[in-house]
Amino acid sequence: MRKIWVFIFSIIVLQFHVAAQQQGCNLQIGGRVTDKEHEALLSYATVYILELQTGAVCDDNALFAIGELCAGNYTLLISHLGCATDTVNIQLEKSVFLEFELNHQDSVLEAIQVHVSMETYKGTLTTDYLEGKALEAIAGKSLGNALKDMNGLNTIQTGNSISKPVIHGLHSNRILIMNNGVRQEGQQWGNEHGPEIDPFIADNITVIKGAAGVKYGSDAMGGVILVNPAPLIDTGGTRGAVQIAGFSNTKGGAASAYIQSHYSPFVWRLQGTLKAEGTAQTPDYYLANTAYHEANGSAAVKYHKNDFETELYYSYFHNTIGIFSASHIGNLTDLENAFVSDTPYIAGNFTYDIGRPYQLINHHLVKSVSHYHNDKFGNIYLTAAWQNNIRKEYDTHVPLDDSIAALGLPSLYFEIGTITTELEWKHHKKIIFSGSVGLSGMNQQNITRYSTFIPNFKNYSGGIYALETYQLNDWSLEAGLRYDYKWTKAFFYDEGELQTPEHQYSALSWNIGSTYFDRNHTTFNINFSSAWRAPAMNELYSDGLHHGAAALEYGDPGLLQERSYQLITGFEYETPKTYIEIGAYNNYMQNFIYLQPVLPPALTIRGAFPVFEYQQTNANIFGIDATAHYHITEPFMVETKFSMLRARDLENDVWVVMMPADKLTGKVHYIFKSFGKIENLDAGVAVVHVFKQNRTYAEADYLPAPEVYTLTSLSIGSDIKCKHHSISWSLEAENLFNVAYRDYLNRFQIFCR
Amino acid sequence: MKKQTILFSALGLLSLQVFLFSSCKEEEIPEEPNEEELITTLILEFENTISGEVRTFEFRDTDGPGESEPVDFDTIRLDDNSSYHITVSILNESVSPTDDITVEVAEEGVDHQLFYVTSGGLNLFISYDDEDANGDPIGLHAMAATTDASTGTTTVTLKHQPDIKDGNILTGDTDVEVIFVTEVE
Repeated sequence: MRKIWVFIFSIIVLQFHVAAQQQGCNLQIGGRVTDKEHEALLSYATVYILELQTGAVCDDNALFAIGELCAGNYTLLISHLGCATDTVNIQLEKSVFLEFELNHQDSVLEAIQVHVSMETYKGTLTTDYLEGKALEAIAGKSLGNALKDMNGLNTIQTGNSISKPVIHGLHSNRILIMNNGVRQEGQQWGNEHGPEIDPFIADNITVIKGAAGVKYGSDAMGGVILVNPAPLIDTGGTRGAVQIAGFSNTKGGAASAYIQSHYSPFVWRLQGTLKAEGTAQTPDYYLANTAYHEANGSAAVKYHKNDFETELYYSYFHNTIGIFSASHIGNLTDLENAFVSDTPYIAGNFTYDIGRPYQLINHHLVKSVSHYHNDKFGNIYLTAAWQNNIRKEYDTHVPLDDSIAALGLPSLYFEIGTITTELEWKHHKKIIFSGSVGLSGMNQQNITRYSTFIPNFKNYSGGIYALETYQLNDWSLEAGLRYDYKWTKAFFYDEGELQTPEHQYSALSWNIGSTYFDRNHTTFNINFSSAWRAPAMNELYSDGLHHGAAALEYGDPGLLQERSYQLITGFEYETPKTYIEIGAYNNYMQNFIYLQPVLPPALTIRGAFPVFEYQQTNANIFGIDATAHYHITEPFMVETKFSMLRARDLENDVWVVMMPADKLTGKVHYIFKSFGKIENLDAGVAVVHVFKQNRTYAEADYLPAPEVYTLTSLSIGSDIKCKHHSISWSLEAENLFNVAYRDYLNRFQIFCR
Repeated sequence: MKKQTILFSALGLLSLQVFLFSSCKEEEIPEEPNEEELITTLILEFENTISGEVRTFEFRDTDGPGESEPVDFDTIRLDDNSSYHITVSILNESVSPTDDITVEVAEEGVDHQLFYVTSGGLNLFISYDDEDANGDPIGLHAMAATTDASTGTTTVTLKHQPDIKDGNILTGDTDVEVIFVTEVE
């Protein structure tokens, strides 16, 4: 156990802003205007932002909301019939809910800022998000790694370069990733297939923890990850930013930049990212062939005139991932050798070069979204998107035949093209209802070459939904219903005969929830929902050798659709000093699809291979996430987080394997006073304690779960304000004490011990 | 109001168009999957150095890993206190005509090595009888000697070690690994 693979060491993040007003332009100011003297709600009061010449009128409940605001200083003018207009200056850094108390007699205005974000206030599902400083701190990390500090989230990793987000124990085909509003479609079924998204495009990343199937469609059973770029706003002049991050372990770096400007009625933005990492290392040795290269770019242009706007967006993602040589196993003997070996039997040296085995991935996205606003009807959005994802996997095994080898063909080639369209109507508040109605369609085609593991296929699907919210004083009630239909056809050869089986699936998704939002710091939400998904192609038709995994996997064309029933509750309490959030969920999964080990192992010319079959059961996942912050003094804060989940296969009465272990995090940080140009100097220590996953069973896991481990990290950062730009920097040392550990959800854990 | 109606209709039509257009593509028929280089058959030919008697032992799985079980999986039966000359054949019988992979292994001898590992207690001793361009063994030809009657297993492993051939069974990729039940009688 001495020589265990570790992630070591510091990540240096440096960010440089060319212009001011860089931060997110998706902030909201919401609030309520009341009469201080009479404690009455002031309906139809107006709130106007002087700088932007825009505003809102309060509704019957004296509530208002103004969205799509950039961070910055604003002057709010608040007026009501019979009163003189008053002004309040606010510094907007995050979405806020403000209470304005208007004194009719002498028109003295007070603003009380309630530290509740609008996101929490809006929905009845539990959400979490990364934006601003928190987002800068994860610069250069992959999407999966960026999100794993969120409570209730984990990652499935294949080494340090491939990571997949896990929400409440569910991942891959059971969660959705919305890349700039478009559902990401690649080969997401594979554990070693990371999401093809550049986190640098994001201005905020929002995670919905729970079945959000009504709004986003089937497959959103575990949750939804929204990667949102900043909206294109035609204010603020030309601006841009450069971000640079460095990683000491891999001697790697990432750089990303964007520039945005407008030429009325057009607004445009160009963005690009480059990332390169060398061989990763443990305290004792290098992990052979773990270099990583990535290059991405995106361009967007928006036309805006009166009540109509239309936007065209293109993004390109490309990466080449070296797969740790020792993890790419040829047969079970290789695997057994890896178990007993203290160190990987393939020795590595430091290099930026990538050899076999490796993955090469290209992802293109073209998206067009049009928005029409009408005072009477509300807002209409029409989105059409085209995606093309090409994944090439190169085996260690070079063909014996020189003429075939010379072609340099991949061992595995997948090309999946997807077209999605969506029409959404967000209607204005009618009496006390607000909501949206939508239609969506998807068309998909997959081509596999050089392997028959997954067949070629075509998918068509369509959905229709309505989601309404009823607002009454401190309560909001939400209900939604959706119908989806999916048709799919596979193409493959069986003993030389072309087979073209077809499948059809259709089902309802629904949700009903409520949020109680009390001005006295308390929020409570409860949501009961049901979502479903059709079995994926690998679950239906996997046929044989799983590339690189030394396992035979067999699909079952008779699988039924999977359904989830989820109850989610959340409680939040916030005062200027204290913040407490507790969430609990229970997710009952009907026809839960999983890989069942089948005995005996199959005899092949390459030795014995374990055999797995896709089967269905009923499973239940229960979990709790809790967070607490406390300011001992104004600048000195302590924070603690805890998450646990239990996943049980109810029919076979065993634990569901590959579920995250319980985790406890503690954090202390101190924000220093500004001195000179240095602002927000923040230093912190974080300790993450991961418990042992005892809830496994031997037939399904190759090895017993790894032991408990505790990691300590240190971070420091600040802003340096100059006249026309600001520089923010941060330095983070991960795993400060070089603790050797293995993580249960890291597929490498069996090869690096 | 009229302007709005027109705009709404236009939006509706556009969305319908995009969906219909996208639905009208040609169906994609997969290529016949024949690119994969498969090893289906391992034949060990034992020629008695005194009597000249030839015995062949085979492992044959014509559809590759998975699907149906191997069609032939022989037990190696040898006489006690004898010596044999072993000749190995590696074939792909899933294609017609049969692809003789032995030729490729011999040509790329510097990148390949066969390993013979016998279980403890089995009185069978195998040594290399060939060389690659660097003077290292390949293992397509080998010598075998038996002593007293005994039973056990013989594991035949073909390793692909491009530019890394080092005589170590742990190095490189496993192309073949067959465990033959072996009887010396």
